Amino acid sequence: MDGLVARLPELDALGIRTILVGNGPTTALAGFVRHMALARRAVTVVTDPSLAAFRAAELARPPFHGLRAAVEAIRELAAGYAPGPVLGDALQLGGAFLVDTRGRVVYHHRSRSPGDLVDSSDIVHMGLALLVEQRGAGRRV
Amino acid sequence: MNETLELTDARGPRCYRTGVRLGEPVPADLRNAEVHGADGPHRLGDLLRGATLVVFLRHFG
Repeated sequence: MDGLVARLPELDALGIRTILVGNGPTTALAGFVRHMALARRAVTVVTDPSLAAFRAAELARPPFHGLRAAVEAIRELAAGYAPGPVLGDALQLGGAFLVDTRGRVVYHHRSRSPGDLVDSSDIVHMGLALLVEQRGAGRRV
Repeated sequence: MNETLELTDARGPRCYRTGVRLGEPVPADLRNAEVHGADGPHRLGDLLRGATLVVFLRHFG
């Protein structure tokens, strides 16, 4: 998440709006925005405690996180990331979707484990590709 | 002997999912999903204005 937050200015410059969808209680929204210093960022933060949007996005919710998740957690700890309290569904996995100006999905990533996060560089590259496509549209070559 | 041959797709029902696919519009189920912001409930689709990155977080931790 930190990696993506650091790239928010680039996404904004590319004309890409960012929506973060959590699944914790609505009362946790303000604390999350404060904790991640998102208040002045070009980002909309919402939550879906019902998980309906997560299901519609076909994001996995395994019955338990396996050995891979344990290894990822150890790696995170070793890298200095201490896990905070879980405000939301501990089993739900995340993902990301990039939608173009015509409402088409041009990129998606669905996590296969808790540590399988979206690569923010992939998102920025796709954003650049969208910008090139938009600016090139209608031009004679 | 008349037998009805039922044709099934060997690839299984997963091939007929109507979910999120590259190059296709955001499916209605996802657009119509209700999310809650600091200012109240929204249809997720109403927040998709222009090019938009939607990131689903595991939790607010």
